[in-house]
Amino acid sequence: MQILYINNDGAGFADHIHVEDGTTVSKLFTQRVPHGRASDYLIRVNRQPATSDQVLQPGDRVSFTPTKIEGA
Amino acid sequence: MPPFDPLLWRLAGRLAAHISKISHRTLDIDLAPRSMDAVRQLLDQLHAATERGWHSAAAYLSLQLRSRLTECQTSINAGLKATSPGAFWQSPPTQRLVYDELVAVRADFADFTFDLPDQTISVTTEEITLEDIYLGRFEIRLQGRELGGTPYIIIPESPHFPSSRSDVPHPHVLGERLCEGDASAPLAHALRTGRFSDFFQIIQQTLASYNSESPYVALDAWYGADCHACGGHASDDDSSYCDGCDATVCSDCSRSCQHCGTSGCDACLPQCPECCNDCCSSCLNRCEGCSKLRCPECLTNQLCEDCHAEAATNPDTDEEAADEEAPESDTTLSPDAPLPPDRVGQALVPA
Repeated sequence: MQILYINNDGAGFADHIHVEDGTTVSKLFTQRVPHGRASDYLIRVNRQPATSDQVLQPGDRVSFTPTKIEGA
Repeated sequence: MPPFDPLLWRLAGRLAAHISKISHRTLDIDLAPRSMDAVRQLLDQLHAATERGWHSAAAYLSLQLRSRLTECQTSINAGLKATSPGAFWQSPPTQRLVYDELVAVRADFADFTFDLPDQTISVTTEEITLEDIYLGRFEIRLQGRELGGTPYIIIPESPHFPSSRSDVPHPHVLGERLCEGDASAPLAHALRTGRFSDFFQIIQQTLASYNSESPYVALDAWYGADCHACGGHASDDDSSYCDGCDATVCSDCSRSCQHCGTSGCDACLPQCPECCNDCCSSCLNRCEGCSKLRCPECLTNQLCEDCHAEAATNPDTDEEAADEEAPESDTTLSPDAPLPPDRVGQALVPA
């Protein structure tokens, strides 16, 4: 299934990606941010706070925003 | 589902139109057609020169060709950069998408306001405290007409400026501008795609973070400054200024003249050579007998203790000195005179 995946870390990323049916928020996070900790990110599904075991649905908008972003 | 807001809908339409214009601007990629034409021409000439055995001409033409190819490469690289994923071929956000984003922003921030004619959106962050320094709330004001430039400003609700500057309400805000640092790329990306909820969240997270590497004012110097004498931090309550050099010194390093109260640092505030009490240069006076500096307490009738003792043991010399008003009279020339105090009359002699 397709979802809109947004990562506000680094250069920023927002594009549609394919994920397996039944993928949870935590599984997607582990796949996409393998070296990150979920507690260091604001994780939202369809602009709403999400739980780690929430199962993603086709067309969902999933965003990962770091809680710490360093200004200069 | 919140009730439909027609004004917010109209604002969403205007913002979507602005973003659409920005998206069109990224289509303007110059592939340097003149350079391409020149490359074709040079290739033909180089081919002809090689066939005829004109080696010098071929060498010259190959250099020209290389220069033109470099120009083409530069313009192609610029085109590649402009068409990086997410930068170009994503269709501009729809009015519906922008509306949904604005509804999400309204849900995220308690103080959400917008002005349709001005095309501005304002939200207020939570109270921000960084490393125990309370900075308060900040308004983030997005100016829709400025999309494509620097479209937002940061306004402190109740500024808590550092003691050293009144234009830095946050370690990473100068005036009303956030120095974005790591937030720069994701912010630009969020605006380009109309993701306003991400845009405001990224700014809030940036304001809630501290980068000790490059603040306008470091948090450990927010209230107070480094002590000029020991280098430690001197808070506002624990510091004073040296009247001599205007440097900030902490209470441990701050000294004051015992006689007039003038404060100073180690370098600027001398001590009386006799009693070793702190005494500023204005209060130090020279003994009329030996010209040594002494504080007021160590001078009696303008004479130091040593000169008084000398006068007591040799009253004639003292009287002569007083009569002639010549304090430099060398009483040590008298065979009965006591030895002068340490270092008086000594001079450096080369070895």
